[in-house]
Amino acid sequence: MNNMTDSQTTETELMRRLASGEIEVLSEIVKKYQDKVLSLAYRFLNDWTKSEDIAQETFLRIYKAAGSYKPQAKFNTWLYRIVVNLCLDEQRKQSKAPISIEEINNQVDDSQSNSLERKETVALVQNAINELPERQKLAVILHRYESLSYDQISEVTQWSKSAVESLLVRAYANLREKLKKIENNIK
Amino acid sequence: MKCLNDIEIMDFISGKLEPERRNEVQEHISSCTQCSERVQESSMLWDTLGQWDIDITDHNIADKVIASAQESVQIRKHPKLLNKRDFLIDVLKIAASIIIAIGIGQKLGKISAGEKPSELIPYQGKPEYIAALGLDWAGDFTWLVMEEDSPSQEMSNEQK
Repeated sequence: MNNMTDSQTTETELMRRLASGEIEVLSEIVKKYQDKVLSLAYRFLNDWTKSEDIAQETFLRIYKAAGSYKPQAKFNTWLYRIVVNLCLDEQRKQSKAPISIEEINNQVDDSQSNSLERKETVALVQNAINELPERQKLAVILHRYESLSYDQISEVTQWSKSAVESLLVRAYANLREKLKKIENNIK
Repeated sequence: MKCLNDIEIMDFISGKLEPERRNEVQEHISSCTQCSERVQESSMLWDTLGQWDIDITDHNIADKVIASAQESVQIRKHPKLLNKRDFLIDVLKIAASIIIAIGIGQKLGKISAGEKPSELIPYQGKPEYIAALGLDWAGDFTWLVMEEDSPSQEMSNEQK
């Protein structure tokens, strides 16, 4: 808890310096958070170009809002909320058609996967998550990959905590069904 | 202890339970085959999902963000110099509005002149702009416009 408070103090200080015109502070913020922002956007959109655009837009919004920043919500929550809103907007612009498994196989970088089997597993996981309804997909990404609690997901998405819990239960049940084949192979 | 619900299983697997509650759940799992199987299934799913890691090494956006931020600072400081394109577009918009307004004015002028040609007849031999201004030749305020080049002035000029 102390660490979270310390982190919040640091972010508040960084935002204050950014508002006073120290543009180099933005670089510090970007370096600190770009991993989170890019991976969240990529998992949601499956497109590096769009994810980079969203990440850039996120940090520019932070920069522009520095002057009016009030540390009421946690910096992390605020950051995630910007990314999530931009991703949802982008997703709605895109076609609803789920990405094909061949396409995903091509996207999965060889350096990420040690073997063909692992590459295939990653592609199946990516495809299974992509096939989930939008809200379930977002809840799973924030819970499983960003390690947010139900309360934090609720704050970021503005959905009630019970809605988040229900979405996650359904999402994991759907994923279990979709990925049974892999799990049977692992057994 | 009752059997675990889905949320408790998720919390147990994701390590979000308080130590005390975690011990209770652990104890229950060891004595309940059904819950033990459910936890095992969920744990396997958790690990499978975890295999999708993202490598962002080739996607450093710091330089691009700083460049965009600096550009926006420059635009704020020198909007006219750095925003030439927008400025040109604004100028073209204004020019187009003026041309359209002149065109409409000319058209309406022709219509109104065409409709009332007879109104000009009483002013024949008198300055046309008096009629164009819609003033009555013998009106009370015409002298305000006519002061400098009134007929009496013209006559006195000729006499000189």
